[in-house]
Amino acid sequence: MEVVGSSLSDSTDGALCVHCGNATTKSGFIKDSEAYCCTGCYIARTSILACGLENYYHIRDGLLATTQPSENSQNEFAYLNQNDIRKHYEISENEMEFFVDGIQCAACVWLLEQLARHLDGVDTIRVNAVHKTLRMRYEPMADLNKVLNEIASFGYPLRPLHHLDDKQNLMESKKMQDLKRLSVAAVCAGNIMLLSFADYFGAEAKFAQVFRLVSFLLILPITFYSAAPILKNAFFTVRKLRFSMDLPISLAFVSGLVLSLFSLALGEDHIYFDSIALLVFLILLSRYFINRVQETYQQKLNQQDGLVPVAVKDSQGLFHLTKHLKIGQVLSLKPGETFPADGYVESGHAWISEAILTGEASKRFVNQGAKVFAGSKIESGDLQMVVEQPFHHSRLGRIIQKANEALLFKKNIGSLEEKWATYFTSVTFLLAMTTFIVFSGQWFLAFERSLALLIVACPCAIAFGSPLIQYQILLQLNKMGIYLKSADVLSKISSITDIFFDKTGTLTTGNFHVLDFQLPKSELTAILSLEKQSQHPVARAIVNHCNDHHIVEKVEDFEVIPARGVRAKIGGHVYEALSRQIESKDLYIDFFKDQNKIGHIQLQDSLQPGIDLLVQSLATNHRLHIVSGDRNSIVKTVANALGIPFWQGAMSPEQKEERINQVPAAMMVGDGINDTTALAAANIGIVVGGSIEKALSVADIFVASDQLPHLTKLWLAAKSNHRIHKRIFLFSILYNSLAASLAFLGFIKPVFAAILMPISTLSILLIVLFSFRGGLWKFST
Amino acid sequence: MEILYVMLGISLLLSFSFLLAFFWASKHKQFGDLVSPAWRAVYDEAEKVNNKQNEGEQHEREV
Repeated sequence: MEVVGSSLSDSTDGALCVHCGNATTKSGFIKDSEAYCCTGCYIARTSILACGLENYYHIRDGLLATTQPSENSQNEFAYLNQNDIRKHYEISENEMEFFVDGIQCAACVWLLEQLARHLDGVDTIRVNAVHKTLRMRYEPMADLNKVLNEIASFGYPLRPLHHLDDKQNLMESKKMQDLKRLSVAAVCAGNIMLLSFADYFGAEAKFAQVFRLVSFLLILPITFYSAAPILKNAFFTVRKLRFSMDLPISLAFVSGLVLSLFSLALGEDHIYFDSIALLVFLILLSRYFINRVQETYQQKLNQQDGLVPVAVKDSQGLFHLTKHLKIGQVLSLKPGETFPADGYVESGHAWISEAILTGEASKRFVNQGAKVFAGSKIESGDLQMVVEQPFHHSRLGRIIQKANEALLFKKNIGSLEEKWATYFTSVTFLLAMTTFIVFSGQWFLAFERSLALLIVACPCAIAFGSPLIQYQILLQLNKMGIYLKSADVLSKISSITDIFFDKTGTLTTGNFHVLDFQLPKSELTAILSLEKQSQHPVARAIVNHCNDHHIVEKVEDFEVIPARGVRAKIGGHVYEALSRQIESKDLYIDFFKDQNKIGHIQLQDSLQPGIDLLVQSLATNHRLHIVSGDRNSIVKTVANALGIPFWQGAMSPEQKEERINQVPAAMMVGDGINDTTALAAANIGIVVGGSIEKALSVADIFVASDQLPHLTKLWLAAKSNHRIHKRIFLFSILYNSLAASLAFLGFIKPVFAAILMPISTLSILLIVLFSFRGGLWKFST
Repeated sequence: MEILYVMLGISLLLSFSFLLAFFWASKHKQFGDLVSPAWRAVYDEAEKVNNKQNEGEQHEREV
């Protein structure tokens, strides 16, 4: 917030605004002995207080303290000030679009749009709350780095969107296409339905013939436009001898179309344009809904972002976009920065963390010639690297691509449903064939009866019902803060026998709580300056504990001692903060000045709120375990506190993975990066907290850490999923076998089959909607 | 009953013009954001109140 530093002197009285914390300038005023910088803040504060939401300020201050931008991120957007890169991102002259994290509600939109007035060089800001994007117009000479860092400092991290090669753009156009296909199907099917009513109620022959012809014309856009992807996909699956839900749909569609065309040509009245049009419309509609749910994940899953920087500096200090890096380019990297590509070190040396790739928290020392991988982070030291594999071809890039593909091309139909539908379709198909053979003496009768059977017994009800059920369940789970990579996971949940919990960050918050702190006041500033250099949770806990703003002293030769602590030179003295190597449930850090102990701090990790209830309810049906890399004494304390019978401490990631592999149906609950391998080894991996995009690349389920107690809902959801599916399958079997036998005996003319099919689909729809009435949880408990 | 032909034509014309209108609307992002414009209407109200309360200051700021 630039105002704090730069315009403090020219303010009227130097007081800070009680609402936003900025210095009050000329337009500032004092009301009720509180200073405000603007009327906006005054109104905001009075309305907040009027609603009895004073707590907002406490919560906000707490949040701000923990999300203070580090030294490095102050220049996060410096590349946007370089002309060629700015031009690359502009959607039109002096206009750029950003993806914004953290937009929650109307207040966020309001705040972001009001910010335009306070930021130098910004004309307007428009927020799209649905897509979480922000469109900004600015003056040609605007310092975008400064502007964006200020917006980020309000708690809205953002990144520029590029409109030509962005995945998001691709998705947007696909969504548009889907919508067009759907709307064409809606208009045509609606009109065909109206026209066919005339036929059902016995229109005069000359009108009937015209209506049929118009219906035929209306079915053409559906065939060649709306249903085209379904037909194409079915054709491909036939060629590859595989099954997909598109196959029975296409079969029903094409056979209905062919028979109708014959009838039209022969002047018969076996016209099914209405039912096949309705079929396509309903299928497209259900898929559109399902895709919208998946889209919300897709948006969050733009994984490349955040893992590697958008742009990096080369050895001449010129910025290059990560996606445009070329082999052989030399890049210069500083502490806190992330490698944007695979390559080797040309000069310099550093300690790097490869947690994202290996899952291990320990650091590695690299110097000239050492191989480095995209995604690893420099902890200390400077180096220059030569690019060998740009990000897309790097190890990390390939992993992400694989995860994205799996997600994009994953069929929405769960394994269970697919099995059922395959079974269903083959039986229907077999019956139709039998019918045809039995009556093969009279070919038209055989054709008519087998088609009637195929249409009436087509499992499209399942094709429509199943996505709808999954849509409802995913939606309800999302509301609880539980995100599933796909609904397939639901069918696996009931078979889980063992649940493994990671300790730090899962059962415990990972936010250390200070029990005892002994340090002479004179040394406080130096120790804080030292700890502020580190991103370790312990260091952050120490800094947060001394929540006053000491002036940071100059720190030289800062280094991280792996698994022990940190060391640096401050004001000519060597300061160290090292963890004490003793067996205890608490953590002790000792502070040293020139090798002499000057103080210590005692820290304790606190339990995740509500975790005891979760453990209790899961313990009745599952064996619970703790697998942790922490010391045995600490793990034992937590296990005893929660009543978890099986626990093991001091485990390496490999040991965790091995332990999980011993159990055939295991669920692993961990907090991401350092549990990557264990999460992958388990049948179901659940990531708690952290960033959803990183989480879902390694796990099946993401739970926000404060929503962890809601995890039990997952079992309820799985139960509901199973129960409602069973219900619609049962209905389908009864309905279809009855209809099929009637069709076989010739009681159902294809014309009635065509009416009965949408009716069965509608009944399925009603069953599903009725099952979800009053909410998923009420239903399943 | 020959009027039916005319009515058929009119109904088709109507439905397809609606379809075109829908295409136009979605192409021009009319459905792009169904949430924030509603909120924005509320802020405008707040700004007007703001203006009334101390018009002079507000004016000075914007200039």
